Amino acid sequence: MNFEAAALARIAEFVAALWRQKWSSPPAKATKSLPQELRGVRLIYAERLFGSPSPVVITARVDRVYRNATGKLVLVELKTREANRPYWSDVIELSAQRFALCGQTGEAMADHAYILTERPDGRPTGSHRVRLIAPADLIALATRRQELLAGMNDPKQADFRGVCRKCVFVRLCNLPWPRLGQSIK
Amino acid sequence: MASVKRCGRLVASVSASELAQMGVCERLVVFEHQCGKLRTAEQQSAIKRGRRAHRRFYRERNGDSDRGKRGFAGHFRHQVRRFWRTWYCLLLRVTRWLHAAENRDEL
Repeated sequence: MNFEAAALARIAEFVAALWRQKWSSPPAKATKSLPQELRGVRLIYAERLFGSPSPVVITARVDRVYRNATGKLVLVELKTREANRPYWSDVIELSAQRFALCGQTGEAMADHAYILTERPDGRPTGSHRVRLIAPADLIALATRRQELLAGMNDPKQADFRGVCRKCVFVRLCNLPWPRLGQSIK
Repeated sequence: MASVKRCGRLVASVSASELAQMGVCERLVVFEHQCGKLRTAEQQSAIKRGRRAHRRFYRERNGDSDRGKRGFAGHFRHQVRRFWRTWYCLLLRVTRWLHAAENRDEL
């Protein structure tokens, strides 16, 4: 009797798992996670590489680009992470994508973009609207990067301790803040 | 930083993801430039997971699903196949589990 009950429990458990994994169709999940502004609008580009002309050559592969109701192109980027929030690096990446796309095609772009976040197991967690940085600021950032690589400027440290915990260069990096340096082993 | 040829001249180019690293840590950008990109096992698996997610995201680009492309008959066939595949998978698992349980009892 115990054996049969255990077998039935295992079967029920397995069916529930199958229901979750196979019968909840992933495409429906993807559409549900799209923001209201982009539902039912036309997809213009998907997984395309763009490159801006001089003065700063920025290349970018966009995940998706939609044309919204006002006729402007809106960028969408997918991020797989535990935290359901956008980061500053996402804003820079999307701004660079806008710079590259606008530079190559000359089309009107929206000054905002969307980040779709999903958990590592593939479950969508939400969409985040972010305001993109101006092209002048992006050029300044690219210029600063060139200066850092040329050794003309001192690089700044990460603002978040979590970044250092996961960094492979943490031992090489002689952290200037003793408090932070001591806490990371 | 790679270089691209523009008007016969080599111009330094930067990718959006390289530039995005400036928002993570500037020291990391410099270290990666000097030592190359090093990744922990956890980071490598996260990158693989991200690539898989992007491939799926690309497949799903045309909206809700492939139902529109398949048509009614195609969609029905797809549903039937999925149903049988699911039950076949379930029976296989249960059979294996029962065999394993029997072997355990014999021991």
